[in-house]
Amino acid sequence: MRKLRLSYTLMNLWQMGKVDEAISYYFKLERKTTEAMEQGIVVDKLIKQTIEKEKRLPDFMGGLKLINPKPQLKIEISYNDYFDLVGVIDCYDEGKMFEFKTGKLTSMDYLKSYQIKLYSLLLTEKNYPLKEIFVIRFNQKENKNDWSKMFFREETNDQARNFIDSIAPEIYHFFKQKGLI
Amino acid sequence: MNTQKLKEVIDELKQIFIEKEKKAKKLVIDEEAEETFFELINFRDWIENEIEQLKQKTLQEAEKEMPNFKGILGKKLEFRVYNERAYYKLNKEFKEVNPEFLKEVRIFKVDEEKVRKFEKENNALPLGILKEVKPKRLEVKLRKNEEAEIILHTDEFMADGQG
Repeated sequence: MRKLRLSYTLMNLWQMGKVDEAISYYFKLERKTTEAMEQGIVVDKLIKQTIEKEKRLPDFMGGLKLINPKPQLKIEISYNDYFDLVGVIDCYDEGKMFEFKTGKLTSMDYLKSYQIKLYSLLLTEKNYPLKEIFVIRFNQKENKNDWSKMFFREETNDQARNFIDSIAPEIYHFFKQKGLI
Repeated sequence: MNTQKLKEVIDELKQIFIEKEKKAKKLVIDEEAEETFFELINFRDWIENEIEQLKQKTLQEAEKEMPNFKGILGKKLEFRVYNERAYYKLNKEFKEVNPEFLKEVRIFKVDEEKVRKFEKENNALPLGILKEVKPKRLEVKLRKNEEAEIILHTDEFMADGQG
């Protein structure tokens, strides 16, 4: 049986009712990118370069020193018989997970999102020790950053599982019905 | 102080409050009850002030970790930093303000008299109008400063429904 490869983006698009975009995303078809998305990609690259070269965050993201950073850490796990779960953690460093964001919403808003919960599930399921979760946001327009944090708790993973269990079966049935998987 | 000790102290404080309450609620028949009320209010103000200071210290500590701290999502509490923001308001001492810096805002208020009449005649409220009943309550003000804000009130529904 072919499994469905779940990611936060796929489930988020689905949840927002953007079925066509979700399909395009799943099959890696060309997607419309906004200026903000493109700026975000540039910022992500800059962050990754600084982490790799200097083992620290760039100044515009707070400049925090890192110990053994793993930027753009891709993790894939088998969730159950029907689904695999995949995600790319912006940076993992000795028990700390970092998610970098750009744009208007504050780091606190992003910290509450299901993306963070799904990524914490991915890390812990892969046996990465996880203690602290950081979101650092850079607002390009105002050239300002802010950061928020939470400590990892098992209930965060439970929330991630609930999120998956409430959305993924519907996506699976749709894809199966349409012969997409 | 460990968590257990703190819990014990809080339990003790609750006990003290129960004792004080017995005296304070006799306000209308015991002249000294006011003093007990005053003690409790002062204690509450002290706690509030200490917590405010603790919040400032926490913010300073967080900023030492990394500047531009925005918040922590805790198990039971959510801490969020709100940045300083300037805003403008009318100086009521001046009767005339350059209209260039003003904008007109239309506000709709419920015409209480008409609604009351409608309710009496129809035994129902007009569509889109809600009725709220404010419970009868006792408010306490510190008399040091007449401008002091209301600092304590009790919410208690009266049997006759009067607000």
